[in-house]
Amino acid sequence: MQHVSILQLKTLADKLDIPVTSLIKYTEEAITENKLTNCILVKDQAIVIKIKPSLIKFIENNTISLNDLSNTLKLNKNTVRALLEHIKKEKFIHFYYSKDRERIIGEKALLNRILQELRKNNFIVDLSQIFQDITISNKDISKLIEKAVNIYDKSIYLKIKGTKLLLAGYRVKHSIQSYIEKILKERNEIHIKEFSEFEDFKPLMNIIEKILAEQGYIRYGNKYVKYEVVLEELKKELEEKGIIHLEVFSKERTIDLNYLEPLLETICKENSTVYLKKEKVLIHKPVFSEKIKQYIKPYSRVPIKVLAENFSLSIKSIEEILLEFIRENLINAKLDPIKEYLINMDIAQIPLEVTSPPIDVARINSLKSKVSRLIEKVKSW
Amino acid sequence: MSTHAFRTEKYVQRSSSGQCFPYIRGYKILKTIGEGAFSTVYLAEDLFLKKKVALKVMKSQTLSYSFEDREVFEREVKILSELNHPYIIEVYDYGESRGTYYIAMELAETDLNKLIKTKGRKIDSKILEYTFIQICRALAEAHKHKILHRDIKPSNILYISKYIAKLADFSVAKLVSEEQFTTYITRSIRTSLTLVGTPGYIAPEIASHADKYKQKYSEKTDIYSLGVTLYEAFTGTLPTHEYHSIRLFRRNIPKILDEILKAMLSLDPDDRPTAEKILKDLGLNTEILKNTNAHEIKYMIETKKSEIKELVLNKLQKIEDYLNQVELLINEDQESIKKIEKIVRKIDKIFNDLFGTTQLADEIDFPSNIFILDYLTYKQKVLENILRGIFSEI
Repeated sequence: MQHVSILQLKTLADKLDIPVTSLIKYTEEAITENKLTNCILVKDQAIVIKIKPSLIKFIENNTISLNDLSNTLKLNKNTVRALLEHIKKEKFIHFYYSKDRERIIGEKALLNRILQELRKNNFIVDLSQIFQDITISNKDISKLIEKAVNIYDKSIYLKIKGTKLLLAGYRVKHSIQSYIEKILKERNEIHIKEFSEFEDFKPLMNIIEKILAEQGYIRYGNKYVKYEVVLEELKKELEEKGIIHLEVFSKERTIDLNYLEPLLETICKENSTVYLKKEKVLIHKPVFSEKIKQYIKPYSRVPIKVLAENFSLSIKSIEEILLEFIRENLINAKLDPIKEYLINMDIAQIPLEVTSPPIDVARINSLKSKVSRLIEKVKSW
Repeated sequence: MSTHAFRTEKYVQRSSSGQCFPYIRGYKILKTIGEGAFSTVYLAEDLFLKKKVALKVMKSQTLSYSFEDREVFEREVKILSELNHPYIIEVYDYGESRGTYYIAMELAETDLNKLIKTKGRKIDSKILEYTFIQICRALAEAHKHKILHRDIKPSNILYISKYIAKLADFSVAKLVSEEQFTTYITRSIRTSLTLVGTPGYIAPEIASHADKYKQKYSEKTDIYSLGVTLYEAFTGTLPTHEYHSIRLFRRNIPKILDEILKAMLSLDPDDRPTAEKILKDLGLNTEILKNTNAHEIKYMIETKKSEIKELVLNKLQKIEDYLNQVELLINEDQESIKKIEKIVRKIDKIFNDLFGTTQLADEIDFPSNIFILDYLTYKQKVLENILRGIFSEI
């Protein structure tokens, strides 16, 4: 297949009976003025070469030496060089020279080679071998890699470090998994340094941490440790303080709360512990109720608001907890009707007559229905 | 025969049937409806507009009007024309006809004095609360214009409908300068340095001979007179030297109103609030009438309703929550339950009043309906006090 067509200017000059030098000059002018597209003039040989689209395709898809190209095009090597320079200058197509400039590599051919590497589904991809013999700028390498990765998987995250790639995404998860498994072998903790080369690539670190969590490891300070270690400490602190604000606990220890939270189930299985999901607070009922008792000891009544502030809880949460404590007889107190105060029944005056009549439930029920009727009335206003 | 009767008869015209009707320029006098020191008020018909009016005809001490008579007349007209207010009686027309000075005014259905005489303590509390607000607004307006009424009493509070009370009779009112306003020493026009007002309603500093108070007229004297008037309306009796709460007579009257009334009746004028302060204490916007129109009032009434609903529903829901925890209640709660029962009764009563009041919004035109917004605002304050008070006690 002919990739180029060649016009001998001498033959044409003879036919037209004009001097060949004049024809060369006219041709040169015509090319300058874009009247002859995709053509190049080789003055010393007095020829005009027209580049056909098939040549573009051919170069794009192949790695070929200049000798072979010279043979294919039936042009001497220097003319081929001139032709290639022209192509490069006009940016018809991207191709790259080998370092000895004796070979050219088409962009598509290069992309295919990168894709071949990517399709091995490794999260670390070393492309140095591919690029080691090619004259190419780092900028072009990045562009090419990005193009290739986009073809490989549009949703994958990419980090380029020279000719080395880091990938993070579903397609490379197995590779990350086996990498971690290899590191984890019979170890109780891993220092974060072991992942230092990935630390500036957040998506990959997220996947790594997720896999570590699946394996039962959780970030704790500078290490990944077995989650039992964290839970043990959490439990110890909870039993000591009675209340733990998980956001503070995890921030102090660089623990990711998202991984810690699902582990709480084991702690909350015990009846003595309550987890306030909305506020991310763990409460150890016996200890915390004792703290409340101590707090209200000197007073006959303490505003709920003050208790809430003191224990950094919302008013609603402290109300719920206090109600639970009252129900379970953990504290000898009660809430006032509109829940503004916690009344310390150890101090508050209780009628001397223990046998005084109990609350009249019928009366309360009648009052309840009056209140709901009134609510309806107000609503209907 | 009084001089005045003689003067009126000068204009008696005889109808074809022989019935006698006195006429004063375009007004047919139908009957006498009130008699004061300086004037007589007739029910009259405006012959041009064919509507009933109250025609106030000035009395003179002699056969013809003196310079002082004319001054009394001109003063009242001037004052009333300065006060264009929904709770001050409206002047339609005034003038002089064949030597008789007259003022045609809005006709009232009744006055507070008649209500007290006929109903005693049975006047609807809600109507009296409306009156309280309306007349305080009227007085605040008069005082804003540096006008002292000087004769506030039940017969000068007129009802142009069941719900709308208006302040009337500015015949002894006085327009005073800024510096004179708070310490004005009265000088009657007719007799210099003499007492103005009606016994029983005059402030002690005016009635007393004590040098401390002697003849010092001020806005606070109007406040005292209004205090006596309202006290009488609520209780059926005039206040005594020692204040007895109106809540002894009417249990449902809010504490705040009682406290204000008590302050209005303070012997020392300095202890009495101004009309503007009373409005503020009731939670009312003293500037409400400025740049307000009917639509705005309607919107404000709706907004106020929502605020009150939110306030009350919030607390009621808390009470409901409390009652739902029956198993947690102990003997000590008996007291709380009593208090809740009390508060529920109070809220229920207030809401009955509020229902009635907001229904009036469709009946009463702007700007007279401003008292509806005022009433809601004041009741909101009352509700806040009740809810706050009860809850802090429990």
